[in-house]
Amino acid sequence: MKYSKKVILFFLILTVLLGGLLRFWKLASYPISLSIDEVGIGYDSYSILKTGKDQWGESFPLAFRSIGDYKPPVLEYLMIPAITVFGLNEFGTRFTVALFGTLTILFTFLLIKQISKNDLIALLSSFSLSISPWHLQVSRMTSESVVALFFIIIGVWLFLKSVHEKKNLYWLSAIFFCLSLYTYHSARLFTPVMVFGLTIIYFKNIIKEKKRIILGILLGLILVIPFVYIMLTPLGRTRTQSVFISKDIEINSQLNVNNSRRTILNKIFDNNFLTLFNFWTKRYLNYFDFSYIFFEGVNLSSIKLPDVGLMYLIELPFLLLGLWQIIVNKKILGRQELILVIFWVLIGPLAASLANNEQHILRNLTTIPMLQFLVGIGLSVFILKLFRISLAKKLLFFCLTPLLFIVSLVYYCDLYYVHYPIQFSEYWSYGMKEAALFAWDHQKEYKNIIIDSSFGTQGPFTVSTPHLYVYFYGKYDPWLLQTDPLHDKEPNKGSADFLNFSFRPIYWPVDRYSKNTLFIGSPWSLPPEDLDKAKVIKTIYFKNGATGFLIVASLEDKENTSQN
Amino acid sequence: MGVFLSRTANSEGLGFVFFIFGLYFFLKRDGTKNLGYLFSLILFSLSLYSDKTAWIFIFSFLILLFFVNVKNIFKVKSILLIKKSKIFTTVLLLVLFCLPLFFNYSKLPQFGNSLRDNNFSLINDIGISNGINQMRGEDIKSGYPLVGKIFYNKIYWLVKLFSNVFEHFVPRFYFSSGDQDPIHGLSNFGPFFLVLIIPAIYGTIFLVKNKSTLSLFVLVWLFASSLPSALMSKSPDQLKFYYSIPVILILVALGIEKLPKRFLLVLTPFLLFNMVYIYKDAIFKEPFRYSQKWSLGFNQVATVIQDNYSDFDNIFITNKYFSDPVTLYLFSVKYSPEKYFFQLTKSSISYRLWMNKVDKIIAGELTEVKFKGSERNLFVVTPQEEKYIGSATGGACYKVVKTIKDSKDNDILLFAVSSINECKFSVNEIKTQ
Repeated sequence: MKYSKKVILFFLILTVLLGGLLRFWKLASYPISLSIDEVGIGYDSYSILKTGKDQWGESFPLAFRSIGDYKPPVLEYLMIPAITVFGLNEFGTRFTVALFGTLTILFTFLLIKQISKNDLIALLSSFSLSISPWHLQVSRMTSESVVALFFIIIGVWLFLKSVHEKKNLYWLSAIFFCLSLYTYHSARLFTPVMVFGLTIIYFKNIIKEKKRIILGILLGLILVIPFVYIMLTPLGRTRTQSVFISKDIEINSQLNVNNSRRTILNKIFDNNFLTLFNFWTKRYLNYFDFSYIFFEGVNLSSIKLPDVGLMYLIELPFLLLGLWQIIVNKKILGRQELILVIFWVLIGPLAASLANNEQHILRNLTTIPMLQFLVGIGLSVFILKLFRISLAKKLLFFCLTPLLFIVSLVYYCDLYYVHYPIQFSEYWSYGMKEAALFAWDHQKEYKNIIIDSSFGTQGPFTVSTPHLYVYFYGKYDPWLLQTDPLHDKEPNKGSADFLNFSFRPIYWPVDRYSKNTLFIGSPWSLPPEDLDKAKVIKTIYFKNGATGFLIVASLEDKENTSQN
Repeated sequence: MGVFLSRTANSEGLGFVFFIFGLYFFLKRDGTKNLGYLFSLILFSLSLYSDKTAWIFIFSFLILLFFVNVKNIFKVKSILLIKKSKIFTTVLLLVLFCLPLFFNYSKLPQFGNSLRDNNFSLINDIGISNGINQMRGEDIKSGYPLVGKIFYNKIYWLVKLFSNVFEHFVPRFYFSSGDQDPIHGLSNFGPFFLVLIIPAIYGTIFLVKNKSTLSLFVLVWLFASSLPSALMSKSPDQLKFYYSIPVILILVALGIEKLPKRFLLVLTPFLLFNMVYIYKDAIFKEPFRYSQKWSLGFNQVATVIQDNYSDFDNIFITNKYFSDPVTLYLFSVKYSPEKYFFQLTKSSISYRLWMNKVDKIIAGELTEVKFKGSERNLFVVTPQEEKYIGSATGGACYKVVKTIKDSKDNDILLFAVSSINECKFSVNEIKTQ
């Protein structure tokens, strides 16, 4: 069935607008607070904008030290225009990713159209992506994974366009693939594997265009040199090493069983490689769990509570129908495209499964275009079937299906805008903004301001980075920070202190005797029953009603206050 | 999975064996007027009499078969058509055969609770109802009570059941992790060899592609076998999913048959390697990982208690290490059932899931018991509980006389004797082998 280009374009614009609306609506307020990564990336961008250096004084770095995780650099640089226009605030920080998230919908359309040669499937796939709880969730936070996915989609699209339409776009494809390497850690594994896969799958096609492909390879190699250089240094390897699967608490104790006196049989059947491999298979296959994909993957509510998966439950039959179409009917895709789709789905969770977390929706994001593609196929087949049934049934399904999608979207919005903030405010460091602003308002009144980074409802189990919130909300001049004698005074120890701000655990039995000091900490470090020698100036609550932070002035100030 | 569960005394294993033989005879000949059919009825009934999981599985399997109207299952003449009437008659006869069983069960005290806890714990899951209430409360607080009513209600149990059923169709469960309960299987591996994942997927694709009645039969079997496990709060439950084994093996066998032969040549050494790796882990490592779950060491406890039984007025065994110590004691010392039953009849009979007293032996939590300080007491407790011995005896003196260690040489249990007479017992006064 052929569709008018204008109709497709009209619906595509509607889809992108819908996606944009869902991504930008109340962007500054939801998620409920900026996360640690968001303030870190935001302030580094601001620092680059103002000084050309990151917060630690490194000029135009290719790996941002940030909180010691050496973040890939692209997002920090891409955020500069938004921060220039909107300022250093929640909206300015989240704008860039939300924009890339919205544009991903458009490029998904182009990619799927390139793969399937079918406008309707491409449109429905991009529609599915525009309302996807998974993509919505990650597009509304400052996450590099969204931008990396954007580059990967364009890279694959340009590659396929070059193959199918004999265009000289391999060099451009190479640029986007290389950009993804500089954008997100997971892409550093996914992209090379994907490029390798594309080369194998389309080898017969690309071998005929040697000159063009050599140009692309050369450009890619040149662009990748700095990346290889970074990865060979400890800076580039820090993050990879710290989150590698072997660091997982579940498996770590079973490793390092090497003993020189072990028998050959033991060395063959009982070694670290096999132990890790066995553990990795669990992690990898976890990404194909139904409950993760359809029931609780996004984690918008606590354990056992109603939740939402990476995809809506209503999409399940369409996903299965899509799978059926490509594997059993083999009507929609050519052999190469079928292999590409299966290959993409299989390598999507590869990087995520090699890390030390279970089911990580950011690291696994590269899988999303193909899952939405399968839903798009299922939906298109379903719609085409609808034209062949009786009018009454047609009406019923045409009303019922959109209604179920709307209900699913409303359900997601209820979880996202109502329950998620209440149940997870502390994990978003909610209250840090208020505390930081208060500290700045009273900064000159105290000799020392001490902020504790541990807090939580059940215990001081959540650890944040209060210094980043203080820099961020104070819009503190990065040049002053970089030159502050207290800041980073012991190189590589990560001291974030500056001015009269000190960031360390509060030990009240000793600290209670400090004079002219403002303390900001949780009730776990500032026990309310022991605050007889201090004055609680302000209490900040989490969204669930629990006390998040106490702002306490020490004895001398209390005496001053009472005298006044 | 089959090997592991065949080596443990599980009722599910026995029920499964009867079911498989019953199914063979059920499919072997058509009609209801032959010996094979009678055998199948007897074997199905034996399965139902062996195991409560079979109650849910066999009936749901037959009822589903009835509704999907499976005919000519294997497309081979000798293996017959299943007529709807045959399935209907079978269900009816099985209900009749098992009436005495159901009747007897229903008369047991705590029957309902036991059934709910052990077979339908999903509906008992307080976490779900609390969750629904919490979400509704949050919606009311936020000013959207209608949304809460629409989305968070009893239908969530259905969603949860749906989710549980789907959890049985994921490759991770079969080939990689299982339910990770060491009593149900090897905690580090799935119920099937990892290498078999490839033929299983290939077999599934083949089955789906060919749309034979076998496809439907396999799907019905898999779905029905997932139900007993899906109805549990902690799902999937490998033990309750026992009846699915043949289905997965059918898929694997189909895959092996249809895969190119050269692939099998590659697969075989990997399969052998996989087998050796798993068996080696099962024999040399697994017993040490979960020795506590298997109550390793209780024989030692029972022997010490038996040898010193007459020296004490009270013997206390903690349930912090062994979950059900009185049952273990009765088993270890071959305690006379008549004697135990006689003790029960002295007070009003109540069926207990966990026994906590026999003669002068008491099991439970140390913080919840009190003994007379003037009496001679023996305590078998964990090192962490040692500090509570004094308060359990009203301040009487106690002395640790023996410890039991695990494979890593850590103390796991202490034997302590207490008496008001200033620790007159000494190490020499307790007989140990």
